[in-house]
Amino acid sequence: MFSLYIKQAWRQLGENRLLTFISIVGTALAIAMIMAMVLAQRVTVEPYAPESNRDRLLYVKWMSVKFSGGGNSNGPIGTRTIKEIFNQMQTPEIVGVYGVQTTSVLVAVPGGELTNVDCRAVDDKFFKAMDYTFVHGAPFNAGESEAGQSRVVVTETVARQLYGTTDVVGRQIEISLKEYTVVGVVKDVSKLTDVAYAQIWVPYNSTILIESDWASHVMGMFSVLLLARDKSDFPAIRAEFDQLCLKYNELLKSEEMDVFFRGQPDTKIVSNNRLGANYTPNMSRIYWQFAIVVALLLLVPAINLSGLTLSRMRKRYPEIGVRRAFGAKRSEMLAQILTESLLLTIIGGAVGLLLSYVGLFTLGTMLFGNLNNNTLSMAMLFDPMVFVIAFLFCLFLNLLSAGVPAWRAARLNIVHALNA
Amino acid sequence: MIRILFKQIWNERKTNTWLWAELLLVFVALWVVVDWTYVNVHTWVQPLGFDIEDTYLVQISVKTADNPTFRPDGERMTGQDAVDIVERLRREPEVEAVGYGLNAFPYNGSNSFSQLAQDSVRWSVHVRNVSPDFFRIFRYENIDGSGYQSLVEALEEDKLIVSENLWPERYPDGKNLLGQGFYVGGDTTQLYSVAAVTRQVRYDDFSIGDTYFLRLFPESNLASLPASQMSFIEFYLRVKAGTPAGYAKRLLRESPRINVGNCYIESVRSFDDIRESYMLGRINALKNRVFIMAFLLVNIFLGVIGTFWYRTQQRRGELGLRMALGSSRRQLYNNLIGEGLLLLGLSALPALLICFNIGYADLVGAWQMEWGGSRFVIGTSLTLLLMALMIIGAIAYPASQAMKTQPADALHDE
Repeated sequence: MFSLYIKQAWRQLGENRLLTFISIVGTALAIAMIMAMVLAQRVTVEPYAPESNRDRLLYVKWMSVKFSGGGNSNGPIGTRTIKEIFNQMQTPEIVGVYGVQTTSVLVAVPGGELTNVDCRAVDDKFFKAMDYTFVHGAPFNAGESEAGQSRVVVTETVARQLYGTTDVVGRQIEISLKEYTVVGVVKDVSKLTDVAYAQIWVPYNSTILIESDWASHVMGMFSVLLLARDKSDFPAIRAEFDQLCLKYNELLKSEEMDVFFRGQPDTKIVSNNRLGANYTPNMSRIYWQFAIVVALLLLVPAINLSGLTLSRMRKRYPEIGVRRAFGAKRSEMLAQILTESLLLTIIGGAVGLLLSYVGLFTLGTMLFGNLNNNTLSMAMLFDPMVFVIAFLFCLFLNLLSAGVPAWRAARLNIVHALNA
Repeated sequence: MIRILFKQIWNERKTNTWLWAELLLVFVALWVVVDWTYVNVHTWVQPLGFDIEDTYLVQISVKTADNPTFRPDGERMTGQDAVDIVERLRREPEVEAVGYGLNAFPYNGSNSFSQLAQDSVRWSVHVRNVSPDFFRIFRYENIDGSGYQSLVEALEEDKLIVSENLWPERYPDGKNLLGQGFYVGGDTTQLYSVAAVTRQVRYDDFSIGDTYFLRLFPESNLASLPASQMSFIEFYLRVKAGTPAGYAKRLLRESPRINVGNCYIESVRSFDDIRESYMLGRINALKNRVFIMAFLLVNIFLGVIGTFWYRTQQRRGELGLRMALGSSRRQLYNNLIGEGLLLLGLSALPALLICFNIGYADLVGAWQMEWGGSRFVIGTSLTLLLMALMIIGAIAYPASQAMKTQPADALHDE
């Protein structure tokens, strides 16, 4: 029966080319806009290499200190706080420490030209929390990290730029006027994975960052990652974290300081919206804004399409009247009309999804707020979930746009319909 | 005439309700976007108050203590090495000026604030500690029209250089600020006098002029800094006009020749780059809004063309009759357009009320401009204009099709 509806609907498409065209373009635009938003959002939240563990990670980007004498200090985390809180944690599988931002550093190979690359200071556990693809070698180990030995992991591009080849494990490189030995080479990292991103990684103990603490080493230059064994451990991790904070503040009382974390550890989506150290993101407001924009993008075309569907329906009133007179049920009429319009919606939805991909590839920089190095992962975009979401939006849009006309047509008085 | 149009709209009220609802919704949504965009673009085109062309940020780092050539601070402080590097940079043939400061350069995420006090009034403003050459690099302008050179000369110890909007309530337009005395940072023993007033300087392209004062960062202070405090100091330079692009790379290549003692040049970035990465998020937000604006407009176009296409088809008989009774084609065309515009007017009335309240409640998020009558008028006029253009564009085609109808054909159909 449904195949009959589809067949009939297919015929109808050719009937009024302009209206068909308008319906498809309207649907396609709506789906394209929504899917572009959804995809852009997913790229910043969903796990994919090298941030394959995003769904198991909690982030502590910044901290705050309240001084009894008055005033607050907000900023990255210091080595003493790392030692007293984060190194004490038992619940997470891994606690990784990394420099709060990448810094542009001076690099050269012996006798080569000087250039600047983006460097991230990390510890060995940071690599375990991430999922870099090592082309050669391995990350520096715990001993090297702890001792701040001059070991470095570089990307393929940097290796090629400096040595003309990627197999450079064991070679020497000068970073910030200091000799380092390359221990690993990884595939290039997109700036979309903002925590993983850098061009070279060095043990933070080998950098000047450990000398940049302030407020008695409570504050400093670091951020922390907490990798849970499972998402369900998040509450336990938070509880342990709060407990350790209380203990730490006992210790700091004599120094007239009180540290607090403004709701951290964060999940990825909250962390993305934590734009400053002195600020707590209002997530419900952010979700509402997103929902309002999506609703607007659905509602405006839905009203549009409703008008069109209604016009088309009116022409078919006699047909509906005849079918009803011969015993078709109202529910059947409703199902038929909705199925017919679903065909249009699906065609429009497919075109729209295609458009959103084209848009993402051509306007990628625009949508993702990054300068370059925005390699979008194919697996990310062609994830089955994306199609499911797109289809659900189509169904919803169809219900919104054809619901009222179908309801009206189905409830039509048979005599009136035949007379129309 | 208008009564006939009203009657027409009333007769077609079933389809018109859809269109009216859509126009109402789109009007409000479009207005929010237009208002935000108007305020931001209006801010964007104002003068910045500084100039970053041909300027570069030079990061000077200190060697780590385990470096064999590291010299512990003692007789000679690490800051002295930085002073020497600045001197060497000044002697580079392509360089016009070299300066340094603390949280002072444009498109800088970090800020310093300090308290100013006069009489019993205190308030907090940006403070920028800079060397005199700062003005030669970023070219702030003196309010008296004498350009930046007079600012370079005015920056002395115990003196302040302030923005013209420092205290508009007491010193509107920065008048009479010159020579005024202020206490700085809660210290009431020393009075600083204003040596010059600058034209407004904006924090970035989407901000309005911020309030600040500048204070001399003496070279002797830089020279006495220990290694541990050097990372807070920023260095910048301006190259001579006409210097070919890529100076950052060239300077980096030459840096071993320029480095002194504990200090070395770590990185060189053009301020064009810095501006680009600083502004990226904001510019993307603007582009996203333009996208949504275009989407809404295209939808109006589709909705109106769809409705009117169907309507003119249905009313062929009526249109034919009118023509037969002496109505000109032009009149028919105008009638249809008039119907569309009247419908827009009908939806605009409640929409305006909603928009005014949204603006009044400050929900648009365009903080750079006060809410007020002129902003409302400009925003709504632009919205109306855009929507009217879309409606006329959408009706034109079905209307012209209807005009081509031969009266006889139309009546025959009937």
